[in-house]
Amino acid sequence: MTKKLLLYGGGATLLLLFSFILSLSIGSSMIPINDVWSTLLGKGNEVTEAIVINVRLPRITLAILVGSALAVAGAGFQGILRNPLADPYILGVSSGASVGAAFIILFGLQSALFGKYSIPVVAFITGVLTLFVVIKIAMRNGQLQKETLILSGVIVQAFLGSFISLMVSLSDTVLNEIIFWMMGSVTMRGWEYPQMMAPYLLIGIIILLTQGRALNLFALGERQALHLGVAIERTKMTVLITSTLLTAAAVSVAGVVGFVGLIVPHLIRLVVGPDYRLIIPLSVVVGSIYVLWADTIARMALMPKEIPLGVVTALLGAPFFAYLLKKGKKGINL
Amino acid sequence: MIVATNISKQYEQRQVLASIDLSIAGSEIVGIIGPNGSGKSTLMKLLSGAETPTTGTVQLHDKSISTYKQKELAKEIAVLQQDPLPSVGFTVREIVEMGRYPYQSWLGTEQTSKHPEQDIVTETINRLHLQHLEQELVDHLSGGEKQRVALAKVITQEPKILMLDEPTTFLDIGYQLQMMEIVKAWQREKQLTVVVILHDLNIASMYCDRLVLLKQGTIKKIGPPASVIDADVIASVYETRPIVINHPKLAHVPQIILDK
Repeated sequence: MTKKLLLYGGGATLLLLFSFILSLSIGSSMIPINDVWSTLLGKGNEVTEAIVINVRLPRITLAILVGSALAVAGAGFQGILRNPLADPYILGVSSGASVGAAFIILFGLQSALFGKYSIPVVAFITGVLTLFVVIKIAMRNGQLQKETLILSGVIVQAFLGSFISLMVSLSDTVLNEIIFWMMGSVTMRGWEYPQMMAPYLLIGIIILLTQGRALNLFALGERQALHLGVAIERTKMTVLITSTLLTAAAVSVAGVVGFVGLIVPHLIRLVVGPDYRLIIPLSVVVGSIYVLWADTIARMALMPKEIPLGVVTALLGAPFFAYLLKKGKKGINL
Repeated sequence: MIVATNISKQYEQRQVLASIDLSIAGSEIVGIIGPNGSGKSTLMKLLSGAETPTTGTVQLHDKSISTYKQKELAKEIAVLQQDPLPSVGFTVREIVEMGRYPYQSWLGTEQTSKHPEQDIVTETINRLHLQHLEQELVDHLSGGEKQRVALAKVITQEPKILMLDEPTTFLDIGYQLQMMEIVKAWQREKQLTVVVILHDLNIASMYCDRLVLLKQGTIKKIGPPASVIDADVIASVYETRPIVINHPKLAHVPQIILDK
Protein backbone atom coordinates (compact mmCIF):
# COMPACT_ATOMS: atom_id res chain seq x y z
CA MET A 1 0.00 0.00 0.00
CA THR A 2 2.72 2.47 1.04
CA LYS A 3 4.73 1.58 -2.06
CA LYS A 4 1.72 2.15 -4.29
CA LEU A 5 1.00 5.48 -2.61
CA LEU A 6 4.57 6.65 -3.10
CA LEU A 7 4.60 5.50 -6.71
CA TYR A 8 1.26 6.91 -7.84
CA GLY A 9 1.26 9.85 -5.44
CA GLY A 10 4.79 10.83 -6.46
CA GLY A 11 3.94 10.50 -10.15
CA ALA A 12 0.76 12.53 -9.81
CA THR A 13 2.50 15.24 -7.79
CA LEU A 14 5.21 15.57 -10.42
CA LEU A 15 2.53 15.84 -13.08
CA LEU A 16 0.78 18.53 -11.05
CA LEU A 17 4.01 20.49 -10.69
CA PHE A 18 4.70 20.20 -14.39
CA SER A 19 1.13 21.25 -15.26
CA PHE A 20 1.36 24.16 -12.85
CA ILE A 21 4.49 25.59 -14.45
CA LEU A 22 3.27 24.93 -17.98
CA SER A 23 -0.08 26.53 -17.34
CA LEU A 24 1.63 29.60 -15.88
CA SER A 25 3.57 29.96 -19.08
CA ILE A 26 0.71 29.62 -21.57
CA GLY A 27 -1.97 32.23 -22.15
CA SER A 28 -2.76 35.15 -24.35
CA SER A 29 0.88 36.11 -24.07
CA MET A 30 3.23 33.15 -23.98
CA ILE A 31 5.97 33.33 -21.39
CA PRO A 32 8.91 30.91 -21.68
CA ILE A 33 9.22 28.35 -18.89
CA ASN A 34 12.61 29.78 -17.86
CA ASP A 35 11.04 33.18 -17.33
CA VAL A 36 8.19 31.61 -15.31
CA TRP A 37 10.78 30.03 -13.03
CA SER A 38 12.78 33.19 -12.52
CA THR A 39 9.58 35.19 -11.93
CA LEU A 40 8.40 32.69 -9.33
CA LEU A 41 11.78 32.99 -7.65
CA GLY A 42 11.36 36.77 -7.57
CA LYS A 43 13.80 37.60 -10.38
CA GLY A 44 11.33 38.47 -13.14
CA ASN A 45 10.77 41.77 -14.89
CA GLU A 46 7.70 43.93 -14.39
CA VAL A 47 5.75 42.49 -17.30
CA THR A 48 6.19 38.83 -16.44
CA GLU A 49 5.56 39.62 -12.81
CA ALA A 50 2.25 41.30 -13.63
CA ILE A 51 1.10 38.41 -15.80
CA VAL A 52 2.47 35.42 -13.89
CA ILE A 53 2.17 36.56 -10.28
CA ASN A 54 -0.83 38.88 -10.35
CA VAL A 55 -3.06 37.38 -13.03
CA ARG A 56 -2.28 33.73 -13.63
CA LEU A 57 -0.99 32.53 -10.28
CA PRO A 58 -4.09 33.34 -8.19
CA ARG A 59 -6.36 31.92 -10.86
CA ILE A 60 -4.36 28.71 -11.18
CA THR A 61 -4.11 28.38 -7.42
CA LEU A 62 -7.88 28.66 -7.16
CA ALA A 63 -8.35 26.08 -9.91
CA ILE A 64 -6.07 23.70 -7.98
CA LEU A 65 -7.91 24.26 -4.71
CA VAL A 66 -11.36 23.86 -6.28
CA GLY A 67 -10.28 20.71 -8.11
CA SER A 68 -8.83 19.04 -5.06
CA ALA A 69 -11.82 19.98 -2.88
CA LEU A 70 -14.39 18.63 -5.33
CA ALA A 71 -12.51 15.43 -6.10
CA VAL A 72 -11.82 14.51 -2.49
CA ALA A 73 -15.39 15.38 -1.49
CA GLY A 74 -16.62 13.15 -4.31
CA ALA A 75 -14.50 10.29 -2.96
CA GLY A 76 -16.00 10.87 0.49
CA PHE A 77 -19.59 10.82 -0.76
CA GLN A 78 -18.96 7.70 -2.82
CA GLY A 79 -17.31 5.95 0.11
CA ILE A 80 -20.29 6.50 2.38
CA LEU A 81 -23.17 6.28 -0.07
CA ARG A 82 -21.71 3.31 -1.98
CA ASN A 83 -23.38 4.51 -5.12
CA PRO A 84 -21.51 4.90 -8.41
CA LEU A 85 -23.53 8.05 -9.21
CA ALA A 86 -22.62 9.78 -5.95
CA ASP A 87 -20.81 13.07 -6.45
CA PRO A 88 -20.32 16.18 -4.31
CA TYR A 89 -23.65 17.56 -5.48
CA ILE A 90 -25.79 14.46 -4.88
CA LEU A 91 -27.12 15.70 -1.54
CA GLY A 92 -28.15 19.07 -2.90
CA VAL A 93 -25.24 21.20 -1.66
CA SER A 94 -24.75 22.81 -5.06
CA SER A 95 -28.46 23.62 -5.44
CA GLY A 96 -28.48 25.14 -2.00
CA ALA A 97 -25.44 27.25 -2.76
CA SER A 98 -26.92 28.26 -6.13
CA VAL A 99 -30.14 29.45 -4.50
CA GLY A 100 -28.10 31.70 -2.22
CA ALA A 101 -25.95 33.03 -5.04
CA ALA A 102 -28.89 33.55 -7.42
CA PHE A 103 -30.76 35.42 -4.71
CA ILE A 104 -27.84 37.77 -4.15
CA ILE A 105 -27.38 38.37 -7.87
CA LEU A 106 -31.12 38.80 -8.53
CA PHE A 107 -31.54 41.48 -5.89
CA GLY A 108 -28.20 43.10 -6.61
CA LEU A 109 -26.83 42.50 -3.11
CA GLN A 110 -23.32 41.60 -4.29
CA SER A 111 -21.69 44.13 -2.05
CA ALA A 112 -24.49 44.79 0.42
CA LEU A 113 -24.09 42.03 2.97
CA PHE A 114 -20.47 41.06 3.46
CA GLY A 115 -18.70 43.43 1.14
CA LYS A 116 -17.24 41.70 -1.87
CA TYR A 117 -17.60 38.35 -0.14
CA SER A 118 -21.39 38.42 -0.26
CA ILE A 119 -21.84 35.70 -2.87
CA PRO A 120 -19.36 33.19 -1.47
CA VAL A 121 -20.45 33.68 2.14
CA VAL A 122 -24.16 33.37 1.40
CA ALA A 123 -23.66 30.49 -1.04
CA PHE A 124 -21.57 28.66 1.52
CA ILE A 125 -24.20 29.09 4.22
CA THR A 126 -27.15 28.04 2.07
CA GLY A 127 -25.14 25.10 0.73
CA VAL A 128 -24.33 23.76 4.18
CA LEU A 129 -27.88 24.42 5.43
CA THR A 130 -29.17 22.26 2.60
CA LEU A 131 -27.21 19.28 3.88
CA PHE A 132 -28.72 19.64 7.33
CA VAL A 133 -32.22 19.73 5.85
CA VAL A 134 -31.46 16.63 3.78
CA ILE A 135 -30.07 14.78 6.82
CA LYS A 136 -33.04 15.86 8.91
CA ILE A 137 -35.44 14.40 6.34
CA ALA A 138 -33.50 11.15 6.00
CA MET A 139 -32.83 10.46 9.69
CA ARG A 140 -34.73 7.52 11.22
CA ASN A 141 -34.18 6.62 14.89
CA GLY A 142 -30.80 8.28 14.95
CA GLN A 143 -29.63 6.34 11.91
CA LEU A 144 -28.97 7.35 8.32
CA GLN A 145 -29.85 4.86 5.63
CA LYS A 146 -27.95 5.60 2.47
CA GLU A 147 -30.87 4.95 0.10
CA THR A 148 -33.14 7.30 2.05
CA LEU A 149 -30.36 9.85 2.16
CA ILE A 150 -29.87 9.83 -1.62
CA LEU A 151 -33.63 10.10 -2.23
CA SER A 152 -33.98 12.93 0.21
CA GLY A 153 -31.08 14.69 -1.56
CA VAL A 154 -32.81 14.27 -4.91
CA ILE A 155 -36.07 15.70 -3.54
CA VAL A 156 -34.44 18.73 -1.95
CA GLN A 157 -32.41 19.30 -5.11
CA ALA A 158 -35.53 19.27 -7.28
CA PHE A 159 -37.27 21.66 -4.93
CA LEU A 160 -34.37 24.11 -4.82
CA GLY A 161 -33.83 23.73 -8.57
CA SER A 162 -37.31 25.03 -9.20
CA PHE A 163 -36.50 28.04 -7.02
CA ILE A 164 -33.42 28.76 -9.07
CA SER A 165 -35.42 28.49 -12.28
CA LEU A 166 -38.00 30.85 -10.81
CA MET A 167 -35.34 33.42 -9.95
CA VAL A 168 -33.72 33.08 -13.37
CA SER A 169 -37.11 33.59 -15.04
CA LEU A 170 -37.88 36.63 -12.92
CA SER A 171 -34.67 38.37 -13.81
CA ASP A 172 -34.32 40.00 -17.20
CA THR A 173 -31.12 41.88 -16.84
CA VAL A 174 -29.08 39.62 -14.61
CA LEU A 175 -30.11 36.33 -16.17
CA ASN A 176 -26.75 35.83 -17.79
CA GLU A 177 -24.90 36.48 -14.60
CA ILE A 178 -26.83 33.84 -12.67
CA ILE A 179 -26.40 31.25 -15.37
CA PHE A 180 -22.71 32.01 -15.76
CA TRP A 181 -22.20 31.72 -12.02
CA MET A 182 -23.82 28.30 -12.08
CA MET A 183 -21.62 27.10 -14.91
CA GLY A 184 -18.56 27.71 -12.79
CA SER A 185 -15.46 29.82 -13.22
CA VAL A 186 -12.23 30.66 -11.44
CA THR A 187 -11.49 33.82 -13.39
CA MET A 188 -10.86 37.27 -11.92
CA ARG A 189 -11.02 36.16 -8.32
CA GLY A 190 -7.74 37.62 -7.09
CA TRP A 191 -5.95 36.24 -4.04
CA GLU A 192 -8.81 36.68 -1.59
CA TYR A 193 -10.75 33.62 -2.74
CA PRO A 194 -7.91 31.12 -2.59
CA GLN A 195 -6.97 32.52 0.81
CA MET A 196 -10.53 32.21 2.04
CA MET A 197 -10.77 28.64 0.85
CA ALA A 198 -7.39 27.21 1.78
CA PRO A 199 -8.00 26.67 5.51
CA TYR A 200 -11.25 24.73 4.95
CA LEU A 201 -9.55 22.67 2.37
CA LEU A 202 -6.57 21.80 4.51
CA ILE A 203 -8.66 20.78 7.52
CA GLY A 204 -11.16 18.90 5.38
CA ILE A 205 -8.52 16.92 3.56
CA ILE A 206 -6.74 15.99 6.77
CA ILE A 207 -10.00 14.73 8.29
CA LEU A 208 -10.87 12.67 5.22
CA LEU A 209 -7.35 11.20 5.09
CA THR A 210 -7.92 9.71 8.54
CA GLN A 211 -11.13 7.98 7.38
CA GLY A 212 -9.60 5.90 4.57
CA ARG A 213 -9.39 2.64 6.49
CA ALA A 214 -12.90 2.97 7.89
CA LEU A 215 -14.25 3.62 4.38
CA ASN A 216 -12.53 0.44 3.19
CA LEU A 217 -14.43 -1.53 5.81
CA PHE A 218 -17.72 0.03 4.63
CA ALA A 219 -17.10 -1.92 1.41
CA LEU A 220 -17.89 -5.10 3.35
CA GLY A 221 -21.26 -3.74 4.40
CA GLU A 222 -22.19 -1.57 7.36
CA ARG A 223 -22.82 -4.43 9.79
CA GLN A 224 -19.43 -6.04 9.07
CA ALA A 225 -17.74 -2.67 9.48
CA LEU A 226 -19.52 -2.26 12.81
CA HIS A 227 -18.25 -5.61 14.10
CA LEU A 228 -14.72 -4.72 12.99
CA GLY A 229 -14.84 -1.68 15.25
CA VAL A 230 -16.07 1.18 13.03
CA ALA A 231 -18.40 3.63 14.77
CA ILE A 232 -20.79 3.59 11.81
CA GLU A 233 -23.02 6.58 12.41
CA ARG A 234 -20.18 8.78 13.62
CA THR A 235 -18.06 7.94 10.59
CA LYS A 236 -20.94 8.66 8.22
CA MET A 237 -21.57 12.03 9.82
CA THR A 238 -17.89 12.96 9.88
CA VAL A 239 -17.36 12.13 6.22
CA LEU A 240 -20.64 13.62 5.00
CA ILE A 241 -20.21 16.89 6.86
CA THR A 242 -16.54 17.25 5.93
CA SER A 243 -17.23 16.50 2.27
CA THR A 244 -20.11 18.97 2.31
CA LEU A 245 -17.96 21.74 3.78
CA LEU A 246 -15.35 21.12 1.10
CA THR A 247 -17.99 21.16 -1.63
CA ALA A 248 -19.65 24.27 -0.28
CA ALA A 249 -16.28 26.03 -0.07
CA ALA A 250 -15.53 25.14 -3.70
CA VAL A 251 -18.98 26.02 -5.04
CA SER A 252 -19.18 29.28 -3.16
CA VAL A 253 -16.00 30.62 -4.78
CA ALA A 254 -16.18 28.98 -8.21
CA GLY A 255 -19.81 28.13 -8.91
CA VAL A 256 -21.01 24.68 -9.91
CA VAL A 257 -18.07 23.01 -11.61
CA GLY A 258 -19.51 19.67 -12.60
CA PHE A 259 -18.17 16.20 -13.23
CA VAL A 260 -14.84 16.55 -11.38
CA GLY A 261 -16.10 15.05 -8.14
CA LEU A 262 -17.82 12.23 -9.99
CA ILE A 263 -15.12 11.01 -12.32
CA VAL A 264 -11.81 11.74 -10.59
CA PRO A 265 -12.35 9.18 -7.79
CA HIS A 266 -13.68 6.65 -10.34
CA LEU A 267 -10.71 7.26 -12.57
CA ILE A 268 -8.34 6.60 -9.69
CA ARG A 269 -10.29 3.47 -8.81
CA LEU A 270 -9.88 2.16 -12.33
CA VAL A 271 -6.12 2.45 -11.97
CA VAL A 272 -5.32 1.63 -8.34
CA GLY A 273 -8.36 -0.34 -7.15
CA PRO A 274 -10.82 0.21 -4.31
CA ASP A 275 -8.47 1.19 -1.45
CA TYR A 276 -9.58 4.52 0.06
CA ARG A 277 -6.19 4.97 1.70
CA LEU A 278 -5.02 5.58 -1.88
CA ILE A 279 -8.18 7.06 -3.42
CA ILE A 280 -8.43 9.97 -0.98
CA PRO A 281 -4.88 11.36 -1.23
CA LEU A 282 -4.72 10.71 -4.97
CA SER A 283 -8.07 12.48 -5.49
CA VAL A 284 -6.56 15.61 -4.01
CA VAL A 285 -3.75 15.66 -6.55
CA VAL A 286 -5.57 14.33 -9.61
CA GLY A 287 -8.55 16.64 -8.99
CA SER A 288 -6.15 19.59 -8.98
CA ILE A 289 -4.57 18.54 -12.26
CA TYR A 290 -7.96 18.00 -13.85
CA VAL A 291 -9.41 21.41 -13.04
CA LEU A 292 -6.10 23.13 -13.70
CA TRP A 293 -6.07 21.85 -17.29
CA ALA A 294 -9.79 22.36 -17.74
CA ASP A 295 -9.35 25.99 -16.77
CA THR A 296 -6.31 26.41 -19.00
CA ILE A 297 -8.40 25.11 -21.90
CA ALA A 298 -11.33 27.29 -20.82
CA ARG A 299 -9.22 30.41 -21.15
CA MET A 300 -7.26 29.32 -24.25
CA ALA A 301 -9.59 27.43 -26.59
CA LEU A 302 -11.71 30.29 -27.94
CA MET A 303 -9.42 33.18 -27.06
CA PRO A 304 -10.17 35.96 -26.34
CA LYS A 305 -13.55 34.56 -25.26
CA GLU A 306 -13.65 32.30 -22.21
CA ILE A 307 -15.61 29.06 -22.04
CA PRO A 308 -17.32 28.40 -18.70
CA LEU A 309 -15.18 26.02 -16.63
CA GLY A 310 -18.07 23.65 -15.90
CA VAL A 311 -18.60 23.21 -19.63
CA VAL A 312 -14.99 22.17 -20.20
CA THR A 313 -14.81 19.74 -17.26
CA ALA A 314 -17.78 17.81 -18.62
CA LEU A 315 -17.02 18.21 -22.32
CA LEU A 316 -13.57 16.67 -21.92
CA GLY A 317 -14.28 14.47 -18.95
CA ALA A 318 -17.24 12.52 -20.26
CA PRO A 319 -15.60 11.01 -23.36
CA PHE A 320 -12.33 10.38 -21.54
CA PHE A 321 -14.16 8.60 -18.77
CA ALA A 322 -16.24 6.57 -21.23
CA TYR A 323 -13.00 5.42 -22.83
CA LEU A 324 -11.47 4.38 -19.50
CA LEU A 325 -14.65 2.61 -18.44
CA LYS A 326 -14.53 0.56 -21.61
CA LYS A 327 -10.79 -0.20 -21.45
CA GLY A 328 -10.20 -0.36 -17.71
CA LYS A 329 -9.13 -3.73 -16.34
CA LYS A 330 -9.90 -3.32 -12.68
CA GLY A 331 -13.54 -2.30 -13.00
CA ILE A 332 -15.28 -0.02 -10.56
CA ASN A 333 -15.60 -1.28 -7.03
CA LEU A 334 -16.92 1.34 -4.70
CA MET B 1 -18.74 -13.35 30.28
CA ILE B 2 -21.95 -12.45 28.44
CA VAL B 3 -25.03 -12.29 30.59
CA ALA B 4 -28.40 -11.41 29.08
CA THR B 5 -31.04 -10.64 31.67
CA ASN B 6 -34.69 -10.67 30.72
CA ILE B 7 -34.09 -9.22 27.26
CA SER B 8 -36.81 -8.66 24.69
CA LYS B 9 -36.87 -7.04 21.29
CA GLN B 10 -39.74 -5.41 19.52
CA TYR B 11 -39.72 -3.99 15.97
CA GLU B 12 -42.65 -1.60 15.57
CA GLN B 13 -45.56 -3.77 16.76
CA ARG B 14 -43.86 -7.11 16.27
CA GLN B 15 -42.42 -8.89 19.30
CA VAL B 16 -39.39 -10.84 18.07
CA LEU B 17 -37.83 -11.90 21.38
CA ALA B 18 -39.42 -12.04 24.81
CA SER B 19 -37.91 -12.41 28.29
CA ILE B 20 -34.72 -14.27 27.41
CA ASP B 21 -32.26 -15.08 30.16
CA LEU B 22 -28.96 -16.46 28.98
CA SER B 23 -25.52 -16.70 30.47
CA ILE B 24 -22.55 -17.73 28.38
CA ALA B 25 -19.20 -18.10 30.11
CA GLY B 26 -15.84 -19.68 29.59
CA SER B 27 -14.60 -21.88 26.85
CA GLU B 28 -17.61 -23.49 25.22
CA ILE B 29 -19.44 -23.70 21.93
CA VAL B 30 -23.06 -22.66 22.32
CA GLY B 31 -25.38 -23.42 19.42
CA ILE B 32 -28.53 -21.41 18.80
CA ILE B 33 -31.11 -23.43 16.92
CA GLY B 34 -34.77 -23.03 16.09
CA PRO B 35 -37.14 -22.72 13.15
CA ASN B 36 -37.14 -19.78 10.69
CA GLY B 37 -38.41 -16.64 12.36
CA SER B 38 -37.82 -17.90 15.89
CA GLY B 39 -35.49 -14.93 16.65
CA LYS B 40 -32.03 -16.54 16.33
CA SER B 41 -30.42 -13.71 14.36
CA THR B 42 -32.06 -11.06 16.51
CA LEU B 43 -30.71 -12.74 19.64
CA MET B 44 -27.23 -12.69 18.13
CA LYS B 45 -27.57 -9.01 17.22
CA LEU B 46 -28.42 -8.22 20.83
CA LEU B 47 -25.64 -10.42 22.28
CA SER B 48 -23.05 -8.88 19.93
CA GLY B 49 -24.11 -5.31 20.67
CA ALA B 50 -25.19 -4.58 17.08
CA GLU B 51 -28.64 -3.65 18.40
CA THR B 52 -29.96 -2.74 21.82
CA PRO B 53 -32.77 -4.72 23.47
CA THR B 54 -36.16 -3.07 23.93
CA THR B 55 -36.12 -4.18 27.56
CA GLY B 56 -33.54 -5.94 29.71
CA THR B 57 -29.76 -5.75 29.68
CA VAL B 58 -26.80 -7.45 28.04
CA GLN B 59 -23.62 -7.37 30.10
CA LEU B 60 -20.14 -8.16 28.88
CA HIS B 61 -17.60 -8.69 31.70
CA ASP B 62 -20.06 -7.13 34.19
CA LYS B 63 -20.37 -3.96 32.12
CA SER B 64 -23.32 -3.02 29.93
CA ILE B 65 -22.41 -3.86 26.35
CA SER B 66 -23.76 -0.50 25.11
CA THR B 67 -21.09 1.37 27.10
CA TYR B 68 -18.24 -0.18 25.09
CA LYS B 69 -16.53 1.87 22.43
CA GLN B 70 -16.89 0.19 19.06
CA LYS B 71 -13.19 -0.63 18.79
CA GLU B 72 -13.02 -2.01 22.33
CA LEU B 73 -16.04 -4.18 21.60
CA ALA B 74 -14.43 -5.42 18.38
CA LYS B 75 -11.44 -6.64 20.42
CA GLU B 76 -13.82 -8.72 22.54
CA ILE B 77 -16.40 -9.97 20.06
CA ALA B 78 -16.01 -10.90 16.40
CA VAL B 79 -18.99 -11.76 14.22
CA LEU B 80 -19.02 -13.82 11.05
CA GLN B 81 -22.15 -13.40 9.00
CA GLN B 82 -23.78 -15.91 6.72
CA ASP B 83 -23.63 -13.89 3.51
CA PRO B 84 -20.33 -14.42 1.76
CA LEU B 85 -17.99 -11.48 1.24
CA PRO B 86 -19.29 -9.02 -1.36
CA SER B 87 -17.28 -8.45 -4.53
CA VAL B 88 -15.22 -5.49 -3.49
CA GLY B 89 -12.02 -5.61 -5.49
CA PHE B 90 -9.75 -6.23 -2.50
CA THR B 91 -7.23 -9.06 -2.43
CA VAL B 92 -7.46 -11.94 0.03
CA ARG B 93 -4.59 -10.53 2.05
CA GLU B 94 -6.14 -7.06 2.20
CA ILE B 95 -9.39 -8.52 3.53
CA VAL B 96 -7.58 -10.57 6.18
CA GLU B 97 -5.63 -7.46 7.25
CA MET B 98 -8.94 -5.66 7.88
CA GLY B 99 -9.31 -7.83 10.98
CA ARG B 100 -6.59 -5.70 12.60
CA TYR B 101 -8.68 -2.52 12.41
CA PRO B 102 -9.62 -2.44 16.13
CA TYR B 103 -5.93 -2.46 17.08
CA GLN B 104 -4.86 0.34 14.76
CA SER B 105 -4.56 4.01 15.59
CA TRP B 106 -5.93 6.60 13.21
CA LEU B 107 -2.59 6.59 11.46
CA GLY B 108 -3.07 2.93 10.67
CA THR B 109 -0.33 1.64 12.94
CA GLU B 110 -0.84 -0.92 15.69
CA GLN B 111 -1.06 0.43 19.22
CA THR B 112 -0.58 -2.53 21.48
CA SER B 113 -0.30 -6.05 20.28
CA LYS B 114 1.80 -8.99 21.24
CA HIS B 115 2.24 -9.90 17.61
CA PRO B 116 3.60 -7.63 14.98
CA GLU B 117 0.69 -7.15 12.60
CA GLN B 118 2.14 -8.88 9.56
CA ASP B 119 2.92 -12.02 11.55
CA ILE B 120 -0.61 -12.79 12.62
CA VAL B 121 -1.97 -12.03 9.15
CA THR B 122 0.52 -14.36 7.48
CA GLU B 123 0.08 -16.97 10.20
CA THR B 124 -3.69 -16.99 9.73
CA ILE B 125 -3.45 -17.12 5.94
CA ASN B 126 -1.18 -20.16 6.22
CA ARG B 127 -3.34 -21.78 8.84
CA LEU B 128 -6.41 -21.63 6.59
CA HIS B 129 -4.39 -22.72 3.54
CA LEU B 130 -4.99 -19.50 1.65
CA GLN B 131 -1.34 -18.87 0.70
CA HIS B 132 -1.86 -19.60 -2.97
CA LEU B 133 -4.81 -17.18 -3.08
CA GLU B 134 -3.17 -14.38 -1.09
CA GLN B 135 -2.92 -11.91 -3.96
CA GLU B 136 -6.15 -12.98 -5.71
CA LEU B 137 -9.17 -10.70 -5.66
CA VAL B 138 -11.90 -12.13 -3.42
CA ASP B 139 -14.33 -11.54 -6.29
CA HIS B 140 -12.80 -14.48 -8.14
CA LEU B 141 -13.10 -17.02 -5.33
CA SER B 142 -15.73 -19.71 -4.85
CA GLY B 143 -18.31 -19.45 -2.07
CA GLY B 144 -16.38 -21.85 0.15
CA GLU B 145 -13.10 -20.01 -0.34
CA LYS B 146 -14.76 -16.66 0.37
CA GLN B 147 -16.14 -18.00 3.63
CA ARG B 148 -12.65 -19.20 4.57
CA VAL B 149 -11.29 -15.71 3.89
CA ALA B 150 -14.03 -14.20 6.03
CA LEU B 151 -13.11 -16.64 8.80
CA ALA B 152 -9.43 -15.69 8.45
CA LYS B 153 -10.37 -12.02 8.86
CA VAL B 154 -12.24 -12.87 12.06
CA ILE B 155 -9.29 -14.91 13.40
CA THR B 156 -6.86 -12.00 12.87
CA GLN B 157 -9.28 -9.90 14.89
CA GLU B 158 -8.18 -11.99 17.92
CA PRO B 159 -11.50 -11.82 19.75
CA LYS B 160 -12.30 -13.56 23.01
CA ILE B 161 -15.82 -14.35 21.88
CA LEU B 162 -16.69 -15.50 18.38
CA MET B 163 -20.22 -15.30 17.02
CA LEU B 164 -21.18 -17.06 13.82
CA ASP B 165 -24.49 -16.48 12.08
CA GLU B 166 -25.21 -19.60 10.02
CA PRO B 167 -21.62 -19.94 8.83
CA THR B 168 -22.29 -23.09 6.84
CA THR B 169 -25.54 -22.22 5.06
CA PHE B 170 -24.10 -21.65 1.60
CA LEU B 171 -21.51 -24.43 1.78
CA ASP B 172 -21.48 -28.03 0.57
CA ILE B 173 -21.15 -30.77 3.20
CA GLY B 174 -17.37 -31.05 2.79
CA TYR B 175 -16.89 -27.35 3.40
CA GLN B 176 -19.44 -27.37 6.24
CA LEU B 177 -17.38 -29.88 8.19
CA GLN B 178 -14.08 -28.20 7.29
CA MET B 179 -15.46 -24.87 8.52
CA MET B 180 -16.65 -26.34 11.83
CA GLU B 181 -13.37 -28.24 12.33
CA ILE B 182 -11.35 -25.04 11.91
CA VAL B 183 -13.60 -23.19 14.33
CA LYS B 184 -13.44 -25.98 16.87
CA ALA B 185 -9.64 -26.32 16.69
CA TRP B 186 -9.23 -22.56 17.12
CA GLN B 187 -11.75 -22.51 19.96
CA ARG B 188 -9.86 -25.24 21.84
CA GLU B 189 -6.47 -23.63 21.26
CA LYS B 190 -7.45 -20.13 22.45
CA GLN B 191 -10.10 -21.20 24.95
CA LEU B 192 -12.64 -19.06 23.12
CA THR B 193 -16.32 -18.69 23.73
CA VAL B 194 -18.21 -19.47 20.54
CA VAL B 195 -21.86 -18.71 19.88
CA VAL B 196 -23.11 -20.14 16.62
CA ILE B 197 -26.47 -20.12 14.87
CA LEU B 198 -26.98 -23.38 12.99
CA HIS B 199 -29.81 -24.68 10.86
CA ASP B 200 -28.43 -28.18 10.57
CA LEU B 201 -29.31 -29.94 13.81
CA ASN B 202 -26.88 -32.78 13.20
CA ILE B 203 -23.94 -30.41 12.85
CA ALA B 204 -25.16 -28.51 15.92
CA SER B 205 -25.27 -31.77 17.87
CA MET B 206 -21.78 -32.81 16.75
CA TYR B 207 -19.96 -29.57 17.52
CA CYS B 208 -21.78 -27.73 20.30
CA ASP B 209 -21.33 -28.17 24.04
CA ARG B 210 -24.69 -26.56 24.72
CA LEU B 211 -27.73 -25.84 22.59
CA VAL B 212 -30.27 -23.06 22.95
CA LEU B 213 -33.53 -23.98 21.23
CA LEU B 214 -35.74 -21.00 20.35
CA LYS B 215 -39.41 -21.03 19.50
CA GLN B 216 -41.31 -17.85 18.62
CA GLY B 217 -38.89 -15.60 20.46
CA THR B 218 -38.56 -17.55 23.69
CA ILE B 219 -36.17 -20.25 24.88
CA LYS B 220 -37.91 -23.59 24.61
CA LYS B 221 -35.05 -25.71 25.88
CA ILE B 222 -31.43 -25.20 26.83
CA GLY B 223 -28.80 -27.81 27.63
CA PRO B 224 -26.33 -30.32 26.18
CA PRO B 225 -27.23 -31.80 22.77
CA ALA B 226 -28.28 -35.09 24.37
CA SER B 227 -31.14 -33.34 26.16
CA VAL B 228 -32.21 -30.92 23.39
CA ILE B 229 -32.01 -33.18 20.35
CA ASP B 230 -34.89 -35.33 21.47
CA ALA B 231 -37.78 -36.47 19.29
CA ASP B 232 -40.47 -34.97 21.55
CA VAL B 233 -38.67 -31.64 22.00
CA ILE B 234 -37.92 -31.28 18.27
CA ALA B 235 -41.50 -32.25 17.37
CA SER B 236 -42.91 -29.60 19.68
CA VAL B 237 -40.86 -26.86 17.98
CA TYR B 238 -40.47 -27.83 14.33
CA GLU B 239 -43.90 -29.37 13.71
CA THR B 240 -42.37 -32.51 12.30
CA ARG B 241 -41.33 -35.62 14.20
CA PRO B 242 -37.88 -36.95 13.27
CA ILE B 243 -36.27 -40.19 14.28
CA VAL B 244 -33.46 -39.61 16.76
CA ILE B 245 -30.58 -42.07 16.96
CA ASN B 246 -27.17 -42.04 18.56
CA HIS B 247 -24.26 -41.31 16.28
CA PRO B 248 -22.79 -44.74 15.49
CA LYS B 249 -19.23 -43.54 16.08
CA LEU B 250 -19.50 -40.67 18.57
CA ALA B 251 -20.73 -41.08 22.11
CA HIS B 252 -23.53 -38.82 23.42
CA VAL B 253 -24.10 -37.26 20.02
CA PRO B 254 -27.71 -37.70 18.95
CA GLN B 255 -28.47 -37.36 15.24
CA ILE B 256 -31.81 -36.92 13.59
CA ILE B 257 -33.20 -38.69 10.59
CA LEU B 258 -36.11 -37.01 8.86
CA ASP B 259 -39.31 -39.00 8.78
CA LYS B 260 -42.29 -38.26 6.56
